[in-house]
Amino acid sequence: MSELLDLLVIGAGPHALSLLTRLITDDPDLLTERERVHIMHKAGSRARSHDEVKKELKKRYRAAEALPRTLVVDTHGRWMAQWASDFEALDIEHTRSNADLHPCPFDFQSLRVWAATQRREDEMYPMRHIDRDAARKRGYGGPFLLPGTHLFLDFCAELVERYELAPLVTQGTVAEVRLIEPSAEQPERLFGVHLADGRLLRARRVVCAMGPGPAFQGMRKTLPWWADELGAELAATSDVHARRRPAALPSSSPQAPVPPSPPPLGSAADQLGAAAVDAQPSAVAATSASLSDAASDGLPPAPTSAHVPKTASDGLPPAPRPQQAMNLAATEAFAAAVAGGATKDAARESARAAGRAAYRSAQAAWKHQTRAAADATVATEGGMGEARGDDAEDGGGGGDTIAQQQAKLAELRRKVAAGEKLSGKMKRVLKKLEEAEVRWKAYEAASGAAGGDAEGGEEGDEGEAGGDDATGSAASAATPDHAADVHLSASDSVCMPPDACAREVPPSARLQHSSNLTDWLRASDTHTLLRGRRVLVVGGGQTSAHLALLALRRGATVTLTRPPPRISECLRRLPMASECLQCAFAVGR
Amino acid sequence: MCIRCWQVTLASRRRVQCKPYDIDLELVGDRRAEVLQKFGRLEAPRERLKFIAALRGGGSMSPDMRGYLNEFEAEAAGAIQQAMKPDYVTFDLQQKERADDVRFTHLQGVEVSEAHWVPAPALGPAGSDEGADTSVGEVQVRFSRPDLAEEGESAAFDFVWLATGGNLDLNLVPLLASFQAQRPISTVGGLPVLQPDLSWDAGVSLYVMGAFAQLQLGADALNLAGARSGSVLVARALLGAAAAAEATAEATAEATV
Repeated sequence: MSELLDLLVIGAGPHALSLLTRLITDDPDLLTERERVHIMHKAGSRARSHDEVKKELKKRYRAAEALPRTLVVDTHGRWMAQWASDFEALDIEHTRSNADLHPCPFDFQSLRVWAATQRREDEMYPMRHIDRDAARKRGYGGPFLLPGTHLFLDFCAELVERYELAPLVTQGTVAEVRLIEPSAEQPERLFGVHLADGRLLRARRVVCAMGPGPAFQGMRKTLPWWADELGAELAATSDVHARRRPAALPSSSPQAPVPPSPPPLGSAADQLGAAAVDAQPSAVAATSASLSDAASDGLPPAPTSAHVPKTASDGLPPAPRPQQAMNLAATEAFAAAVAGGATKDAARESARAAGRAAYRSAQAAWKHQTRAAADATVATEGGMGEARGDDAEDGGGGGDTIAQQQAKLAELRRKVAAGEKLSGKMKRVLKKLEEAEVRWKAYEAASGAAGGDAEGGEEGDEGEAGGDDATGSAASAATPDHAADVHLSASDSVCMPPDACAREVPPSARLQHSSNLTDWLRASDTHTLLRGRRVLVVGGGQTSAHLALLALRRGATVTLTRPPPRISECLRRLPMASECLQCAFAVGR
Repeated sequence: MCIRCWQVTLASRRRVQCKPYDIDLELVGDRRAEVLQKFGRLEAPRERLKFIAALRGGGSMSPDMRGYLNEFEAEAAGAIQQAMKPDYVTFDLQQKERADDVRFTHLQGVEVSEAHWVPAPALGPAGSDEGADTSVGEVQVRFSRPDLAEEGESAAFDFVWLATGGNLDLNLVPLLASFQAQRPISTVGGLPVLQPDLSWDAGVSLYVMGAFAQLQLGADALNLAGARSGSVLVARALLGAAAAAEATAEATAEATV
């Protein structure tokens, strides 16, 4: 049994640092917030002099002597490690909090004074975009300085050193804290702290000073509803990809096409992270997989895909978007309940229930519709089909095959040549297709160069040839070089265009919540991966700004958009609706 | 390749909240004492939760971060103007072709209505090599304005990053969840109702600092400000009431000199 500790602190971040230094220092700042306000904003009159602070900043303490039988347990085993790592991963230049906020236990001015003695005042970022007069009117008179992250971390490191706090930290993750009630031989109430590595520590007092942690433990991620769907698609794509690999070997026996399985019922939230492996393949992914399986297994060639998704999706009326349906239903139910004399709470409850139900059914309908094309083709046409039919109207959308796109490009060019006036949309499509053509040309050029190297005898190639006839028959005249692409794609030795290089990033990593993203950013060579990439950042907070900025600095193109509005905003017109139905929905789910 | 296919910028229904701190200025400035006093007077944890929510007001961006982004947005050469404009700005980008080198677009007042993984256009049928085709592709996203029934434009992305935040929940932290099972205390909205000195319960010397102490510390519990206010409370408790009182007396005496 280990020594009985007086104090065990979980986490070695700024909260623990603030606490332990306060326990050690001679003259700690133990002001209540109220007292502090009075001092801080009368700086110069009541605050300590800078000389006094300077003197304190030279003092050294011995934590081991001041705090015997004290231990800090931290996952990284070092002070401020998570902060340092997050600052780096997210490219954070300065903190959002001002220069008066730091863990030093002596004085709120410590950081500024320290920066001055180190001649590092230039690492304080002035708030450039704040209206100082307006801020003063609201009672905030400064400081308008934000410490740079290096300055801040060095200040903390200096604190750790001056108090000799480093040896107090042990690396470990606390799995559980158990109460040990007093007994005959043990008159005190104790805590048994179980670490993940099996160690058991006993302490009289425990302080939980850990932050949200590496994976935002303690935080239930807010995920837009479409993210569930997309997450499942991506996970399933990766899954199918992984399972199909052996099947592509020349020696493998023919395999049956992957049957379309029902869509995953659970939310994909848990799969958003790196571990997105064991998801059920959704019908969508199964479709794209069966497309290739069918080809390599030499199944009867399916009709040209050009018209298939169109008919499938055109045949259905557009399903209302779930969010819309929910808003509408909730609004109606609320109004009806109020009209029926129900109380506010009852009305709200019924609105919430109606909204939830409408959301579910609309989402189901929507799913059904977007899958209809794919499912139909899988079921009736032997596994031939586009991965996604709903982009057909976009012309150059990703759902079309190259053959279709080239045919469309030729048609548009004919129109232009004939002097026809194109609509704005058509112009855009044309532009997109022209861009795509540059890429096709690049493939072709590369394929010409690599043609000699490309292996012709692989079994896969036969499948390709058969499939090529199937998909390309309508447009093969327009794309005489199509066959060359086939060889190219079979060879990994040629330099792939950007899209193909993207295979370094599996689909499952394409959609990530910010809480998982920091790990990914740290582990990846983002300078290479993000250059020239298109990134959509969803959010409106500081994290979204950091992510957008990071991607921009790495050469990506960034779109920043807000998440869907909370339903309370949509129900603003209703005077009594104050709670967020969407949240209620999320909780109830 | 940028999102040149994206030709329409939607009207700004609501602008992004810009404020220096993630809490309102009142809680940082001279009125902090006042605000905290108001907070302290609220008895019901649920009321406190609402108070915190109002001070934080959902996600917000600091004006400086917004400023850095604006520098990229400025590349739009006047095409994007909605960023800092008041609410309900409408403008028409149909006529304004976006410059090719614009790399930052800020869409406000739109929501994503669909998002799908679209494997890269087949270079010939898939199955041509070891199946790389399904894993190479892009995410097609369709945007729409929530107040309009019509479907919006779509654009393709290589990455979709959700900076949509989350809600704190005690039950997601195994350590706290298991402790709650042994020694249940009341919780509101996933947050524990701690003792005023941040201990778990009377006579249980397990203290909680940070975000999970916000029902006691207020809206900035998880910030550096909360590190200070929280550590003061816990330090006072640990040093013992007598020592703390002494220190306070000293501090206040010093403060009033």
